[in-house]
Amino acid sequence: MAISNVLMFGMVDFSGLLDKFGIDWHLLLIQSLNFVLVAFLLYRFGFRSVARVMDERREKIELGLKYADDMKREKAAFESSRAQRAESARREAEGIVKSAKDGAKAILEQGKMELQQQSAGMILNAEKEIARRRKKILGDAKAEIGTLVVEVAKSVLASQMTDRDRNNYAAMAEKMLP
Amino acid sequence: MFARNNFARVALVVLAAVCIPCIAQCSEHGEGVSAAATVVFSIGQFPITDSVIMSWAISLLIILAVKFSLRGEAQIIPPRGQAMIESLVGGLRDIVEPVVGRKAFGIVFPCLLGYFFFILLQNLGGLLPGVGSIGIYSGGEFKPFFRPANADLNATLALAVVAFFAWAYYCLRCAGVRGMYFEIFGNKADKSEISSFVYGALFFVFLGVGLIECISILCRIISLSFRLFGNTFGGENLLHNMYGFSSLLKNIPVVNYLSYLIPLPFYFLEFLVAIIQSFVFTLLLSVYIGLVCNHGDHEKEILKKEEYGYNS
Repeated sequence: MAISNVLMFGMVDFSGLLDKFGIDWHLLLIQSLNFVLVAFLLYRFGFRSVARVMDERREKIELGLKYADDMKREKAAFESSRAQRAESARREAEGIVKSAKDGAKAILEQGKMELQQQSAGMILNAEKEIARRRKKILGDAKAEIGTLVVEVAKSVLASQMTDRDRNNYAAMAEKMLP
Repeated sequence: MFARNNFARVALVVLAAVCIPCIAQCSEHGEGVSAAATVVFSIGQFPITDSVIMSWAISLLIILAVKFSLRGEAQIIPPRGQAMIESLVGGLRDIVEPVVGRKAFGIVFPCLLGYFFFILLQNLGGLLPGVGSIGIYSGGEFKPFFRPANADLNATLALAVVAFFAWAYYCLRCAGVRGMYFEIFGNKADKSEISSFVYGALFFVFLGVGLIECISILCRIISLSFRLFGNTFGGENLLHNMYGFSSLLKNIPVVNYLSYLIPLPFYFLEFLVAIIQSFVFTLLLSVYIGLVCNHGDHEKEILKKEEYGYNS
């Protein structure tokens, strides 16, 4: 009994509440349909394309960032390899310069040595030539002096000297000559 | 400092002395917004109330505003209007996505967007000049042509009923009948940690809990609708009473010039309430959906990202 009274009281109050707030199923239906229609139209002609473009932009940004990261990495790698290449080229150039310097030095030394040898040979040859010519001149001078001596002695002694005496005199003259 | 405090106190007392009798006078005269919407005309058996007219007008405005803001199709480099819509959509997405879970987000988000924008703009529509003040006197009673849609329980109840069916649809689609049954009635105890007897007994406990949960789910219609209605209706009454109060102050010689400024702070308050209430409704609906559909996939993903240092 008590429960039914409470329920009835509740129902009466609930019904009064509905009247007080003007609850009407027609209005509920109108407002529901209105909202569903607006939500559908908003999404169909507005938010769908906005959401799609936002996703597309996000993908592009992500790709752009990824590309920028890749480029940064590639740049770092390129710079590192460039530095390595530059270092190796520098070392190679230094080697080339050093070897060129060494080669030039060696060529210079060799030239110097060859010149020294050539000059030494020339001096030797010149000395030899001088000695030969001196010897020849001396020989010629000796022969000429000997002949002169003989001729003088011949003219002095006339016909009294023998061939043996002549030869002895020539030998003596030869010894006396320096 | 002391003098300034005293001046503030005296000003407060004078203001209270002037305001309280005036507000009391307003109340005695029965001024205020009626709880039920006023029927302006009827189409067949369907009564068209001031809130329905307002709802249609704002709906049309929303659609036109969005359409004109986007200027046709959305563009990858957004114009100003599209940027504004995008900031709202993006902001809501960032908040709602972790709540409903990634699995349900794709299908749920359009509905949540609809709720947020619809409620927000309907609430803000209540602050437009002419709402509640343009109408006709019929039989000695003022009948306004426009009333904020959410200040009518029919509108908020309709929103809540649609939200309930939307919740049921999305949950069934994401979790399935079995998943929903398990969420409501299922035995969530860990079998390895308790004895078989206790585990078996817990079936009945969870069955009872499920029944209470069903009542709670049904009560969401009431809570969602009355929360929104109460806030909007209260705000509308507040603004109405403040206008009544300012009209009473017009008879006082010194303060009559300032009387027009009295409702102004309450407009800012109602602006805030409009945003908060639309957000609360949307967030609550997403929480209800997330309770069934979200099983921590977002958190798992975050943990995975943190673990592997991956950042998409």
